[in-house]
Amino acid sequence: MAAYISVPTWWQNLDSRYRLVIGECSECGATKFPPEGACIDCAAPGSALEPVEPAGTGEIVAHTVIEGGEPPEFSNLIDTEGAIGAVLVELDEGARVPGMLTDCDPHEFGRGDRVEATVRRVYEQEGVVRYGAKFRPTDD
Amino acid sequence: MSAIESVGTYVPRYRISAETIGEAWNGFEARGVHEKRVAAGDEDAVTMAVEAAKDALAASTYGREEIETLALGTTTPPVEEGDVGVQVAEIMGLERSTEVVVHSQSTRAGTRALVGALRADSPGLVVAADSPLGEPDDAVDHAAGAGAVALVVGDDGANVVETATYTQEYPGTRFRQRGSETTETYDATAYERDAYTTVIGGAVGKLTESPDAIAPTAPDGSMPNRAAGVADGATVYHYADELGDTGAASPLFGLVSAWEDDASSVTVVGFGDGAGADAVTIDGSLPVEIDRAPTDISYTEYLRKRGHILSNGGDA
Repeated sequence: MAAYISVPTWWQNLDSRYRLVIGECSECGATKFPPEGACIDCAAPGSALEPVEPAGTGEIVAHTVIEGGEPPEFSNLIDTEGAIGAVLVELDEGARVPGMLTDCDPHEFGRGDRVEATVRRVYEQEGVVRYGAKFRPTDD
Repeated sequence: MSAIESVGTYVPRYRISAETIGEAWNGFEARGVHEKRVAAGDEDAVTMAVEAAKDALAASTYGREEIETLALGTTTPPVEEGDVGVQVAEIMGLERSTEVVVHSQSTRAGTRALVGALRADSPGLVVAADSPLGEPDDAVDHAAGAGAVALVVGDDGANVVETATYTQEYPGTRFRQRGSETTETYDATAYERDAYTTVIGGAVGKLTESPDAIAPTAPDGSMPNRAAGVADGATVYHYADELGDTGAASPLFGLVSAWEDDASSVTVVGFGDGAGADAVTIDGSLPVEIDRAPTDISYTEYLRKRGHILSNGGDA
């Protein structure tokens, strides 16, 4: 099963894909990713969300490892790296962001481990390379 | 702009030794390379450029909104047509008014980017990033490393005191055919050495001051030493013994090596096959070190990360 995203759709959120831009609620200060829709804390309308660029550091709060049966656009990555770590990361600013692990054996890291964002090739489809933030372990 | 204001580096985490590659092929073909870094399957010149550029900006007095020029040099752009410099600028979040230029076509691209940014009358970000690929059994692939160096140019810092350039055609010494992923050489050793020393000597000879130290393009860990002979015996710096061939980034890694050794006047010499060379003399130094902890990989992991073997056929 593949979740196909066209290039024009992908392009609409480059700030969030590259730099994890989140929304900070001007009413209550809660943060949200992606920066759209109503505030998840106080339900203020989406227009109350201010775009904020986070530091990119956070902690893994959910984790799984994909070793096969991956969507076809990820099959080269499985070949080159062996397995893909899929994670939910709680950024230090509070918002929770889904992503992939990189630069590590994904079996060795999990809930509670610190990570930092780095932009990598996510996949290549229809000849277009899609770049986006992934997470790698950090001691900081 | 007349100075290098800050420097940033990036090397991939993965490392392989010459011994490991040599075991696979009954011999290691890249002279003077003891080990090298290997880009992960999700890395390319764009992602490595971004890493080095972030590191350089973090050490700079300029914020990213003050950067007016981005000059990227690479021989391995991920696409043959399409502006990869704009992708770096977008990922970095640079201003939309930033003048973006990409230099490619030869390993001189890194110093071309530097010289171009120095000519602009505004703070600039120079990045050289490369990850060459060769046929697995040849010297190009055995040497091929990966990494990126970024420099912020401005009014203060390590001063660029002189630049010179030299061009003379030497067809075919190192090239990549249209549509090919792999770089190849004509394999006429004496001819290739003549191209390297004549063109580097030509650029260095145009400087008014003989260099104390030089950081030449390093296709392996041996060739750079030949540059000393045409540079009045200057001390030679390179990083190819540890990083492998970093292509357009290699003369800038040589600068990093010189600065790590506290050299206070260094002539960076970017050589590009074809052939042409830029000599850029820099007085003063900046604090820098390459401190990324490595993870050693096997030769089969190496082949997979480099795309030589993939389930869709490989060498993709």
